[in-house]
Amino acid sequence: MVLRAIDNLGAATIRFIESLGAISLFGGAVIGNTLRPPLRTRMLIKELYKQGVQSLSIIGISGLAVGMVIGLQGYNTLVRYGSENQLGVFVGFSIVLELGPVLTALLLTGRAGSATTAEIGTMVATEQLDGLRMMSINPVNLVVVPRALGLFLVTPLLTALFVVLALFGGYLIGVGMMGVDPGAYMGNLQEAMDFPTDVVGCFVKAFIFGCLISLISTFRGVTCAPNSAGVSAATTATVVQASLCILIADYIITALWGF
Amino acid sequence: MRWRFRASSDMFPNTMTGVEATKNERTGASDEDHIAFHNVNVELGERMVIRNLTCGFPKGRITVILGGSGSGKSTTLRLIGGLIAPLSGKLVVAGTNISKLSPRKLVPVRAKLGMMFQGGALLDSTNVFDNIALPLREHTRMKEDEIRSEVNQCLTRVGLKQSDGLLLPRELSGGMVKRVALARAIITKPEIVLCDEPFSGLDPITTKRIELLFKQINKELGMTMLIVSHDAAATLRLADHLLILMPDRSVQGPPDELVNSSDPRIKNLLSTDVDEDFVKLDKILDTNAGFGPGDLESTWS
Repeated sequence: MVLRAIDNLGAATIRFIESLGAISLFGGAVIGNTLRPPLRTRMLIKELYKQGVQSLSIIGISGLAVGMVIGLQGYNTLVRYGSENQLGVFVGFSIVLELGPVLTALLLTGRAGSATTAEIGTMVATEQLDGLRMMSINPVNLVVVPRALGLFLVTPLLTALFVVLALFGGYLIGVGMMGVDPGAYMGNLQEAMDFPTDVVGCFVKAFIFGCLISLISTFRGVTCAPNSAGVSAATTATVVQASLCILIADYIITALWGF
Repeated sequence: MRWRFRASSDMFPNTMTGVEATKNERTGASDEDHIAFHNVNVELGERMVIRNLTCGFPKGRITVILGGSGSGKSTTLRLIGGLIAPLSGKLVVAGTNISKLSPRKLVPVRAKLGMMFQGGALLDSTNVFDNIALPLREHTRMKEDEIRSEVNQCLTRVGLKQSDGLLLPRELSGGMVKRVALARAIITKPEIVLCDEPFSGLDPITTKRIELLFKQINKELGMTMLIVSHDAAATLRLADHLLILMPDRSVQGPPDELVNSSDPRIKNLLSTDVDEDFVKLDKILDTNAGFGPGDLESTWS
């Protein structure tokens, strides 16, 4: 019983280290191929459209809704202490430091990351990647790099959109509905925010989350089993693993960055 | 990674067991062969798919690989393409031993190969023209108008119209997918063309058209062609050379010789006659509701 438990633990540890090694090698190959010409601009633009432009509505609506909820909750809390003029600071810190980058990354994982895994996984199942290999075309270069680069670039851009719309949502509720002074809302927000620490920190998180989403979703796609069950499992794995990695990385960055 | 290949302890001696070979059946590879297998073993997962295979494929000829399901026909093609590596043994393709080559060193060998996959393996996000043009765009410095002319010529060669180039793979029929896949496989004029189940899922008329296409391409371009097939009739019409894979041995030789083999399994594989059981089943179907042979004939005609 105890021996079996130790055996299982050992096997799980080896599997974990193996997959860590595999994803590191894959990440190295992606970076190497990104830096190597040709830069496939047309394919990259197509991916930016698919992953970025087509995610605008979900990110926009979510940002606005989250901002409105934070505005409402924040007002109800602050009004008890007579500090409702600090609503801008409350909404700003919540959104810029945490919710903006984290929620954008989670939404993007579900929307674009899973789609990327499913798309590459289907290409594996239908032998399209083997077809490329037979033509001496590196699938990482042709298939993975445009998608990974697209996800990496759209994450901070969509985070910026999310943050702006969430701040606007908070303003809409605080100033428009609850009667908070607009000057106090914006003035306190501007005064409290430190650009190098808070705003840059927000984008550092967004870039790191973008890296994680692009790496995990493309890796899961390329290594998925070549059948429909494999594609389905890989898509699920992308959402679960990327979401967990984002949340863990968020804690590590917050601790190291000194928010 | 998906597949793992490891050394097997289950090595079999070379395989003319059970039944005597006929006079012209070859059991090995010769120096003149374009592709040669020497004691090749392959394991996929836990299953030994190819055991001690030794055979050769003559240059400039059409070789058909026959065998039951799971006998390793497609695996043989994937080995030649370097998509999987053998556990042990030597595999020589166009003069290069590829059994232990890294993906980078496989590039010059793959430049001599074209492969037509069973499902086509066409990139589904790009149209037919771009699919066929892809190897030229990636590996040559041809100008766009030269590529256009080359692709259009290739489309015509496989019996497709230039306007078909604008279609997406999902808009093609089964026969058209095979033709486009063939066009992509031969666009760089490789020395060797590998075709995995080119007749699967096709009606008899389209099968014959594809057969003629193979014959024509082989004759005009002199390519060595390896075709994996289940279709005995098509095989006998098409093949200059046959490789038959069986669980305990493999046999190769000219089709007209193998047809007369003393091994009943080979005879069965190459048989184009209708089985007695099938005739009985046919009669039952004919007397009950449903369709009979006559209906099928009228459908084809």
